[in-house]
Amino acid sequence: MQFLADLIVSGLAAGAIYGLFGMAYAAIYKATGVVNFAQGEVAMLIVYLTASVFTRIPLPFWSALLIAPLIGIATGLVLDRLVIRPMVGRPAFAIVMVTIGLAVMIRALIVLAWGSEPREFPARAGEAVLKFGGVGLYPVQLLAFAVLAVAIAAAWALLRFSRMGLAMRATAIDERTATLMGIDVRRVAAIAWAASAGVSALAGVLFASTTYVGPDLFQAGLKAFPATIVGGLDSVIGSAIGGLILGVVENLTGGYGDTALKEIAGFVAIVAVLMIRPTGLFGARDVERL
Amino acid sequence: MLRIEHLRITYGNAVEAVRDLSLDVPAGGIVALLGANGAGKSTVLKAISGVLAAEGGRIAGGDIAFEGASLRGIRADDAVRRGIVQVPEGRRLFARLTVAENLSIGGFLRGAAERADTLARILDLFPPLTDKLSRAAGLLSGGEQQMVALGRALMARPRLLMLDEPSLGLAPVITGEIFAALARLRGELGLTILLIEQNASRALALADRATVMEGGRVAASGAAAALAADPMIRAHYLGLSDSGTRRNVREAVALAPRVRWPA
Repeated sequence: MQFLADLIVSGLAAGAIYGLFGMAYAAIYKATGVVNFAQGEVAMLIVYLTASVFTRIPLPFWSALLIAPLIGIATGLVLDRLVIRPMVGRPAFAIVMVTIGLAVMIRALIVLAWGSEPREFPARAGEAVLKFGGVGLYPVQLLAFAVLAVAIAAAWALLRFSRMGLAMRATAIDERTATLMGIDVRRVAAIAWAASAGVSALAGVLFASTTYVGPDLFQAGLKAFPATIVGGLDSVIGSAIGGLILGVVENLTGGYGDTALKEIAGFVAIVAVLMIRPTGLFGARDVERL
Repeated sequence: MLRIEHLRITYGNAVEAVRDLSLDVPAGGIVALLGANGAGKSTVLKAISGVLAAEGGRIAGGDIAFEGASLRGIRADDAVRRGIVQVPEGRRLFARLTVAENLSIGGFLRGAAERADTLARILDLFPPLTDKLSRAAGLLSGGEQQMVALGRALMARPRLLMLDEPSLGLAPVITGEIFAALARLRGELGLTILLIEQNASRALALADRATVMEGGRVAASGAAAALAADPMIRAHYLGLSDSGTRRNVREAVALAPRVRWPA
């Protein structure tokens, strides 16, 4: 029973990071209809930039959770302006292909700028295990839960109560009509890219602090992609919950089954969920009067 | 208020959708743009509202001016900022959003106080929407959806309201209610309206002036009452017989060469 509890809690902690990545995917998809296949690479770039700051200026780990999102927002705005805005009005397929090209460019840029040797993230969250009713958690795992909870609350409030959130939801449904209502869809896309990069920065820093900073860090983002499919590609909060589900499924599969199965568990979950709910667990379905 | 001069619109530098169209919409007036499918009416609206380029079209000649300023190259959101608001063909509501959210999006560029004030007016204009504000817009009837579409446009407090086929897919009694609301809007708010409509009888009854388009060109233009009374216009461009009912299409086509485009 203790083993099961440990697997579930550590699965939720890993899932919290997947959930943050999932939210980042969904934020862009929801506002622009584009799957950003450079999500992991964008997070990796932000982690490298943040690590560079922390190498020069020794700061406590918690400050990375403020600095990385700021670097992320700036990175998202720059990428939107340089890469995405010139593509506005082009077919979604063309923009998706651009994100794939962007991913390759970022990978190459990182090796050129920082080399291919992995290194430790300069600040650590602490190694002391915190006990909660017999279940042990590292501080960074606890932080991951807290960050995901704050991110979910912020996303819910933004989408539910703000005018920009409503504009994002309208743009996601019908971009052309949204422009006819006076919504500047280019601004909506810029905000989505900035928010997405900010959230993926958090995921990247949390992930890097438990592993290392290396040129294969982007794979964390790729591995989290099933989370957003399971939760619903157009549901920011659903994608966060999808991440938690994915983390637990992976851990239980690895704990009770074969370690190799853990790697494919997420994709098995995609197939199972999509067969039952084609838009994911929390994805929006069309509303139509028959 | 809106002046179109010698407008020429092409798609992909090949298809000429609008040829030498000139049109004036005076402040407070209602102008109807009539014609069959493919006549170029909706293309004109797209050029005014700034969505033409996104569909591969471009203004190849002439100009569109709103209150003296050219609209060439304008973005759709800028057009709304200038007071030009369109009710698109087929309503195009945000089906998953509630009626209240749809209306709120219409007032995206307006402040909270203005939105609240305009919402009260819209609910006064369309009472059936009052108890449906929290329903998904996609679940409303066609007539109610058209009311939401019109209300959503009014939330932007337009100076020029453009409607693309407001009667499309609606029962005659609902169409009557929608046109009555438009007449009331003009009377109470002095709203300027550019109306695209295939229901020629309704459009001519509401409008001050009308332009009939065919194949991208102006086939006839003048006071709506005069066009409605002209037997040739009624028969060949509006598809109406003397009794006011639609003519047989084959009959209209057979008559066409005698009167259309004299050499």
